[in-house]
Amino acid sequence: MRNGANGNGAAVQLEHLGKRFGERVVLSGIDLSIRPGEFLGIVGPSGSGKSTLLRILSGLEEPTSGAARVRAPTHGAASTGADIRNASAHGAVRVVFQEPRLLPWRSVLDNVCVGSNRALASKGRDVLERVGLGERLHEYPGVLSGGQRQRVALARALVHEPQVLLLDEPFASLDALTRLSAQRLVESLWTQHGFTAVLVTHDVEEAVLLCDRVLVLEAGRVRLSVEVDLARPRARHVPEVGRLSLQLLSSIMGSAFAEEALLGQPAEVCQPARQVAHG
Amino acid sequence: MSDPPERPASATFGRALAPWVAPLVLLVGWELTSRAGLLPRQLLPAPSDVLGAGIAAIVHGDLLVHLGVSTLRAGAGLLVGGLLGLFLGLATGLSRSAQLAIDGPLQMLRAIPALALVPLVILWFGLGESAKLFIVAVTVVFPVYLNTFHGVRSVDPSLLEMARVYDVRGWALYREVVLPGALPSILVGLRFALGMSWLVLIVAESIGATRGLGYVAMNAREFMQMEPLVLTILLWALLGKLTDLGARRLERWLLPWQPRAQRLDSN
Repeated sequence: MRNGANGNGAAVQLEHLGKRFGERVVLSGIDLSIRPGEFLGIVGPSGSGKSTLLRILSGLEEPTSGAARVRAPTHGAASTGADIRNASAHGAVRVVFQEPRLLPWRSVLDNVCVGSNRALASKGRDVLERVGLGERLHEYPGVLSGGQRQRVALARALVHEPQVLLLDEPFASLDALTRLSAQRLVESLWTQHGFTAVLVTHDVEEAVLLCDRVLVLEAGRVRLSVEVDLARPRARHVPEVGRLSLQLLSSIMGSAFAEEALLGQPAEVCQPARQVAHG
Repeated sequence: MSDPPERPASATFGRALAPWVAPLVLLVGWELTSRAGLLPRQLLPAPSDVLGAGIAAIVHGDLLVHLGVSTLRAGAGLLVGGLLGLFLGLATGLSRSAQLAIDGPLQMLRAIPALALVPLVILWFGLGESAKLFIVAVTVVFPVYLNTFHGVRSVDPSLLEMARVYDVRGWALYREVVLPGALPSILVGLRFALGMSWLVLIVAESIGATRGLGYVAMNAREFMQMEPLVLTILLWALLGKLTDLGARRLERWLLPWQPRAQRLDSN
C-alpha cells in the first residue's frame, strides 16, 4: 500500500524547525521525517502555521531555527541530504498553490514549460495529456474553467518530475464535483510517479481520503499524528474514514463540535459525562 | 464561462453606428440653425461653409502639407518622449533607489505647464524643429512614465512568487512575467500620450512655425478668419478620435490574451 516502491520520491527531514515573524512564534520545535513516496497531510485551524510550514518546504521562507533537508532517492540512507532551498531551485521540489497562478499571456503549454527550455515542450504535451488537457495546449488560461486551470498548474508542477510535490489547499477553490475529480487525479498521478506528497488542507476528510499519515498542527506544534492504513481508492462512506476524520476534527475543534459537524448530531456541550471524558 | 450569444447582424450594425449618432445630430442641427439665420455666421460659420473652406484649402492651399507636418511633429515627439517615459518608468518600477532618486523631481516637472516653458525653449533651441519636438516630448513623457511605473509595480505578486518557486529569474523573469504584466498599463499610458501629442501642437507650433495645424489655428485667430478656425477645431476632434481607434487596435493586437470584458472599452 505504501508508495515508495518505484523509488521516485525523496525523503524529507525536518529537525527542530522553528519560525518566528518578529515576536510572533509561528512554528516551534517541529521534528518530522517524511518517508520517500509518502503522502503526508497537514491539517489545522487557520493560524496554526501549516501554510508557513509549506512555504518553508517550498523554499519561499527561511526557517528561523532548525533545518529542512531533502534526501534524493539516488542518495543512500546514510546521506544527510541537501538543504531544501537548494533542492527547490533544482526542480526536486514543486508547489501547487491554492490558486492556479498561471501567466494569463502565455498559452497552456507555455505555462506548463515556464522556467524551462523549449526542449521540455514534448514532455509538457505528455503531462497535459495525462491531466486530460491534451486538446487545449495552445489556448490562453483565461478561457479555461477553474478546475481546468488547476489541472494546468498540476501539470506545470509535474513536468519536471519532482521528488517532492507540495500541495497548498489546491482543491479549496474548486466546486464539489470538480474537487472530487481533482483529488482522484492527484492520487492517481501520485501512484504513477511515486513522488513524495505533502498536502496542506483545512478539510480533514480530504486528508483522510488521500494521505498515508495526517498531522494536526496547532499553534505551531504537531499536536497529533494519525496513520491512515486503508486501501485505496478510499470512499467517504467507509466507517473507518469517518472515525479517523472525527478523531482529527475532535483534536482540532473539540469533540462536541466535531460530532455535530461530521455526524450531524446536535452537540450536548453541557452533558456532564462528556466533561468527565474530557478531564 | 460560455461565449455570449451571437447578436443579429442588424444589432451589430447598430452598435457600430451608435457613436456617430450624436455628432451627426449636432452637425445637422448646427447647419439648420445657421441656414435659418438663428446663428450669426460671424459668430459661428455653418458646417457647409467650413467644409467648403476645407475642400478649398486642400485643393488650392496646402492643408494636407500642414496636416503632414503636424503628424510628423506629433509622431517624432511621441517617439522621443514615449521612449524616455518608458525607460524612466521601468527604472523606477524595478528599483526602489531609482524611484527615490527620480520620481520626486519628475512629479515636480509634471506640474509645469508646457506654455510656461515656451520662452525658455526658444532661448535654448531657437525657433527650429527641435524646440517643437522638445515641447511635444516633454508633454508625453509623463503619461507613459506614470503608467509604466504603475504597471510594473502592480504586477500580481502571486505570479512573482510562482516565478520564484519555478526558478524563473533574471531576464526571463522580465520577459515572461514583469513586462507582459505591465503591458496593459503601459498601453493606457500610450493612449493618453497619443491624445496629448495632438493637443500640445497648439503650443509647439506657436514657436516660429510657418506650417502645421497649430500654425493654421493661430493664423486664423490673428486675422479672425472664422472658417479655418472652426476647421482646425473639427480636425482636432477627428484626429483625436482616429488616433484613439488606432490605439485600441494596437491594444487588441498586443493583448490577445485579454478577455473582452477586461478591456477598458469593449466596443
